[in-house]
Amino acid sequence: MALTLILDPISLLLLSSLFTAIVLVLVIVMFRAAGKKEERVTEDTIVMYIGGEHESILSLRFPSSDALYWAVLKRVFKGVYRYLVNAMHTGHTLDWLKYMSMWYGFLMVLAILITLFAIVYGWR
Amino acid sequence: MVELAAIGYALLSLFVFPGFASLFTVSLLTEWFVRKTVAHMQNRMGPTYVGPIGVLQPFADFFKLLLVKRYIEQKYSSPLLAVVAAGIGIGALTAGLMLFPISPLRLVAAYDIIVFIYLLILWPFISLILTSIAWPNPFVIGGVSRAVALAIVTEPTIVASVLVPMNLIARRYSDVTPYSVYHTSIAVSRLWTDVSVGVVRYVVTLIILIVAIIAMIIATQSKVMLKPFDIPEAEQELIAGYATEFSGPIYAFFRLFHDMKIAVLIIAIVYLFLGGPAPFNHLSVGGVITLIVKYIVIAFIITAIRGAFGRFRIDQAMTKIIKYALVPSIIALIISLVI
Repeated sequence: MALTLILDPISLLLLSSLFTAIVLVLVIVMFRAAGKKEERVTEDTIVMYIGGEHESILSLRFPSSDALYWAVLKRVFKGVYRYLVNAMHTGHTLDWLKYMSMWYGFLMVLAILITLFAIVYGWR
Repeated sequence: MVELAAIGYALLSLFVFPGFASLFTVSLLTEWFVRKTVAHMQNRMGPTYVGPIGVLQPFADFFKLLLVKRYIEQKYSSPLLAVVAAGIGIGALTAGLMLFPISPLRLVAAYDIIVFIYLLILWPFISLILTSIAWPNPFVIGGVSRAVALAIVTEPTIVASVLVPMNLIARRYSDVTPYSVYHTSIAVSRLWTDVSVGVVRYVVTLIILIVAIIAMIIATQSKVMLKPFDIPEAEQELIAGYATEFSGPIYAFFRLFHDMKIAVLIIAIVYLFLGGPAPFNHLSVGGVITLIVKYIVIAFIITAIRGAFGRFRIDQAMTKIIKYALVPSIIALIISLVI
């Protein structure tokens, strides 16, 4: 009742892309066959909807999509950023040393753990 | 002869079951289920008029938008780009179903998790962005920026969660093809029942599987932008966000794409974590009922979250996803590599 095709990942990727393209064609055909465009357009309908404002408002300063995106990321990771900055910039050399040894220590522990796991379990 | 049979299976799987026609039906029925359940939670009636208890309302909405309503082209829009982008998303989701054992034509490869990520995570996201920017508008840009920001934490969560059962199976059962969606779907029920690995390992396995499911459900909620993660289409400030300018048939396909994403992600949870029809097989009454019950349970959890929460701000949403989904899924992933 079922056919199982055992492929290599690359062939599978190509075959599934072909299937994606076939469905894409089906969707385009459906749209072409059934979709209708509004022909009775006025000046109001062809301008973009900006809450009733005229398009010229876009010449004003407006945050770019990049700015919107980074603002969100910065806001989310503000706590982490503050912690890192404050840990580094106290003005005491000893704090800097402590901070750096903390990171090197963490990397050292990580390296030792990976080595131990590799010895105990092997790479697979 | 074999090639003819393969083509027949491919056409059946792509267009009928579980392909376009079935996915279309299931996704619109899921939309009805979500709308009706949320309406009950909010003391409303929900869809009522079309079909018994309004079950055909999403179908009526789709066909009305497609056949009756007209799309309005604005100065900068590209309807063909919007349809092509939505079509790629719909196509990728439909083709992605062939990786699961539910399909009569099963596409299997070792490490086909890469294809899973490509079809069910990468393309739907790119499609959403392309469809949106085909009708440029400041609200669309605002919505897309937020969607991209959410994706930064959502997509890694989905990948990490899905890798948990795959890692466990690859490490534990050498007879199973590693990191294959099909084989993981078949073998995952062994993880839930195999106590021969020792009590501690068994309990840890159960815990990390449950953590991965919870993370995956939260990530699904965020990927399909249901409340509380619907800030990219927050109507009070962004009108409809990335969907502000859509109309007529374009909006019909966009809604269908959205509903299909929900349906396919629920199917992925049901198969990769809960074993699909397990403990029965597909072609038994018990198997079909089990599959439907599992689907409805996961859909109900997602719907209940959608109905119970208010909208998070974008930074709150990201923090919540990091705290309750991304970090737990990564911890579960690391544990799955060592037990």
